[in-house]
Amino acid sequence: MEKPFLVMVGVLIFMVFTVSIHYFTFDEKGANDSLSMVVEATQMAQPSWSVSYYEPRMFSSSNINNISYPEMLSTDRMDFVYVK
Amino acid sequence: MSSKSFLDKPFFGSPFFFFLTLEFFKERKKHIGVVVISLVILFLLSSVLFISSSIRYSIEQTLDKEPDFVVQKIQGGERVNAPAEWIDPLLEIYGINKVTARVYGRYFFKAKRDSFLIVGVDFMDEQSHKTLESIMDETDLKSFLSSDNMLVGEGVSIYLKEHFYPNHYSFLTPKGDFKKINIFKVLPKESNLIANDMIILPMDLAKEVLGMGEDEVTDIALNVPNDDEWDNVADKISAFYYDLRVVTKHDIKKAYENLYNYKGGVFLILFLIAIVTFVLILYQRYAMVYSSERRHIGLLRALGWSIRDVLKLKFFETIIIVIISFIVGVVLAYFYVFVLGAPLLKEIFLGGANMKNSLVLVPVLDFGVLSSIFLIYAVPFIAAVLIPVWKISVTDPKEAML
Repeated sequence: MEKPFLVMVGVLIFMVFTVSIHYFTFDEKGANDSLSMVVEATQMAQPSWSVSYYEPRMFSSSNINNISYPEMLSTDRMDFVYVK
Repeated sequence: MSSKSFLDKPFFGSPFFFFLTLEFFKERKKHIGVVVISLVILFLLSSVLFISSSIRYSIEQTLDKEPDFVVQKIQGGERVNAPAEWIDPLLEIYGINKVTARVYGRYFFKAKRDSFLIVGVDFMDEQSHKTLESIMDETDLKSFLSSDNMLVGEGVSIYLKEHFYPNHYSFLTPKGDFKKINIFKVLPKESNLIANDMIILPMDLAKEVLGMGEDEVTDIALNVPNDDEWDNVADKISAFYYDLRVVTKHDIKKAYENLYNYKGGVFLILFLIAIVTFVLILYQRYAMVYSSERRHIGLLRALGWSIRDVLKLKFFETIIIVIISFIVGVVLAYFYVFVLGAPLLKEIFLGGANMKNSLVLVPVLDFGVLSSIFLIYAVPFIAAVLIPVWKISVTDPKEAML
């Protein structure tokens, strides 16, 4: 049973090797440059949240969720995901 | 058996190693269940951490390009459009070197449904001019400005094509007029994290589409190169008017740091589920040792194995399971997040109520977090196996086999 064990170890090493290749060859600079250029041109770096019409798209633009009950928090907002 | 047993020979190729592998593959059905459950937990945990750290890392890379201050006009606690005349007094404050009027707002494609983020850019500004030229590659900026054109994010482009607007879109302005604007270029896919739902227009055109007056801006961004001057400048700006709010880069940075952290609602729930499931695994291992393996350990002891030998065997058996689960779980999570783009799970982070975002996640491996996961997972796991094994090993083999 030593042989199948060594084969299994070989497979695990191959998996780690594959991830390492992807990690070190990824064009990180290209991706960061594209983001930086858009931020530089627009002066805005808010993540492109895919939000409903009643949710704020930008930081600090609107905090009221429900006009009738401004203090009420609902769970279907992106605010629920991140801490303010 | 004395401490100088056959188990003390070199590990690989030794009888102990042979017995370990034999035992491991013979009991594979028993191990597969534990490995699968561990895999699911580690996969979920690693995926969530990979996505959040990647998004946070990408946004943090753009911090340098962000304005140091944003000045907004407040009315009834809500932001309203600021007068453009606020810009001149700001320019007079010592220490401020760049003041930019920002014009942006949401344009709803269908009432109360899908929306775009319209951003107005001053194409005459030298810095914006250079940056936009590099975004548009070889395309001449003059041809862009010669007619009503716009730059759109990939999400907007796909959305408009789906709604039969492949080359242009007619915006309905608040005045009731239609404004036909051509799609000049789609922004690079790599910028989807920020620009997926974005439409970049010349400043005047953006104001027209958003229904803003010529002397109005959404807010004002400014830079203060000397960090020591920040508090002083913020005080000076606040003293100008009673109805303004100053948002500093520190506030935004703090918000980014808190973004998607483990204290947030959904993530707390995810972690709780993972921890509860993990406790169940430990319980299962614990119960298993007391039933089926009791006889096995007793048998080994009766054959002359010392307590140390039994513990060594079980330790290596468990560590193999832990390492296999950890490597496979993390590698699968990496593949799912950074190669496949984390379908479904990314919507927890960016939402899915508006346009779909096929963003490029930059691979970020936080080895501190990964080693923490490994320790949190491995230490209780190994302890939950070795403690009962030790308890059985110290009892008389006859009793253990009963």
